[in-house]
Amino acid sequence: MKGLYKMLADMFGGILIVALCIAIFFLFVGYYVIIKGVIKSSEEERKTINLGHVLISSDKLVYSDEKRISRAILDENKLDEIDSNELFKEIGYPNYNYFIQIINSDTGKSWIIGEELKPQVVKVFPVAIKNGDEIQVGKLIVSLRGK
Amino acid sequence: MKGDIVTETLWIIGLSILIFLIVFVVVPKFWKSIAETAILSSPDVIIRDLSGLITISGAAPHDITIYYETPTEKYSYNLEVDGKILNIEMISSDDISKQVKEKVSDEIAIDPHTSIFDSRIFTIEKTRENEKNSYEVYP
Repeated sequence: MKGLYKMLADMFGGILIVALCIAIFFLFVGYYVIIKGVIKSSEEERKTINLGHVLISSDKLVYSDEKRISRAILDENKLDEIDSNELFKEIGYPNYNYFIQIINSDTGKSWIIGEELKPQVVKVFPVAIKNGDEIQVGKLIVSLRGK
Repeated sequence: MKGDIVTETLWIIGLSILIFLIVFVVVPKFWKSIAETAILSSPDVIIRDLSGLITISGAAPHDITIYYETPTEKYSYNLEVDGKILNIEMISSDDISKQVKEKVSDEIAIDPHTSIFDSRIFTIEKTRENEKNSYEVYP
């Protein structure tokens, strides 16, 4: 009987030590790893989304006049004459390469700005494409890759 | 003698349950609030917010002003943007020497050259004049 009580006490002591170790791991290490992981894993996604939003507001791509920029309404004349180096110099991340593909869904015409690369993240942004007085539907695809 | 062992065993079992409850119920509650403060004031989080906001200010078709206040008062920050690289240094608000506790860097897609010292509030301003965009970040 005495042995049984001793064994029970030892068993609870052991369980307590194991439980404490697990608790410390999850509280300190696990929590830290999860938070760091969430921040780091979404970095490229966030960068691509932000980049796309800046691009569809850039007067190098979109229709603009002296007073206003027409966000997400791409100007076909500008797309035909765009200087990609100038665009990438103004808008882009220092340690990431990207290229843009623009497709006019109505006419099938497409533009590729920059050198094609194997992307880490691809994001599609719906846009309108203005050709003279006509406005057609299209999409702008941003493909991003770390250098 | 037998009674002593029974009492000792009951004490160990009771203490085990008590410690178990403290570790798994009470501590996580406190830890959550401590962790939240640490996470929210972490320069990793601040730089993620600010790099996103500065970049996205470039997406505004017209003028825009964005105010950003760091979530906790415990720390203030030095901010520098140079060549599309954003550097943030975390300093303790109570520390008179303003010693840098942690430094992080991130990239942004536009380039507003700026330098701010010891601030918890950051104002990001985009203005468009004569078909040119200009960006400013100030306390």
